[in-house]
Amino acid sequence: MGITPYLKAGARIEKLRLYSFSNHGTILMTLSQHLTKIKAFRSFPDRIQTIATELMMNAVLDAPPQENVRNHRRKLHHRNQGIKLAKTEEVHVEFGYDDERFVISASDNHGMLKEADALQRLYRCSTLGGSQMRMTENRGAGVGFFMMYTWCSQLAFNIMPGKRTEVICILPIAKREKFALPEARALNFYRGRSL
Amino acid sequence: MSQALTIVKDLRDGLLSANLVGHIDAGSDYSPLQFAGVTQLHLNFKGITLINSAGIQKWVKFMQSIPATIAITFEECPPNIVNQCNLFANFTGGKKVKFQSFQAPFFCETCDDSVDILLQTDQVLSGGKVTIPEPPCPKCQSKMDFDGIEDKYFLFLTR
Repeated sequence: MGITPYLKAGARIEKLRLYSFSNHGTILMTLSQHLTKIKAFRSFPDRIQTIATELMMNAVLDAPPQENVRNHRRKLHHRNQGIKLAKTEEVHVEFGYDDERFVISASDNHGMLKEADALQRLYRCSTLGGSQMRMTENRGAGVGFFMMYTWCSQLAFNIMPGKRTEVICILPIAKREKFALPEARALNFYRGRSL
Repeated sequence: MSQALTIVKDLRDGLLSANLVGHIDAGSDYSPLQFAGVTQLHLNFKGITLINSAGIQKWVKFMQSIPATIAITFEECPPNIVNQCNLFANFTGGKKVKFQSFQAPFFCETCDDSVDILLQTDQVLSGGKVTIPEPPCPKCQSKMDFDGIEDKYFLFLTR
């Protein structure tokens, strides 16, 4: 687990903790400082920031197994109220880059992601092109997933059932967007043994 | 870092103009926009710096709540809004929207840099066909190249 295998040797990796949803802004700020150093097409920093936000929202709002917890957090989130996470629930965010790719990940401590759910959303995204996605659902519409799928060259899910889900997004770095779009995308699920 | 959405509005003779500034996210509040006596709505997106999935869902609900009698125009859409319009056909909430103007990224070979240029839809779209201009670089005046995937970026104009 972790993003090291996706980067060249020596690439610097930042490891951050999300202990309350109100500190996600601090993480985005750190990310932003790094993004200014990368020579890439204009939309690149926006996309990374959006992906980071989606990863953190998924880990905090969608990952907990209890429906009442998810609903409560979503309500707080919609009211712009803080969501404090217990020590055992802290989300780990990592990002790093070399001269070819940018890699960012978030891992929760729940391990509840199901491949079938993710694939169903992906199927809906890729076949309908987002045009008929259920945009008004309270959760799980796959809007964030669709954005990540569209912009990333590779998405990897490391799932330790009941323990941890790590979502890794890999994006090619290019000065011009027309040279940054992947010819083929990879989607990987790695599932550890059930506890 | 999170910049709450602010809406600066002006209502004159049935035309409601609103400048949207900040992030479109789960906390975005569109209640300042009331539609009594409104026949036209002009939404300017120039100040939108981030939009996320929760924001998109709330935005779509807002768009769906606009009375069908109101003519809607989007102005100065930055690339993050254009991208969402292209990704999600339902971004307009099923409403017919006129895209007055939008930004597009262009690359200058001479300066080795890119810049977002504001384009008027009339300047790009004619008879249902998109023609991409070659605007001069603001720094060196050289002709610039569109810096994106043309079929994808301009899709929202022809859908």
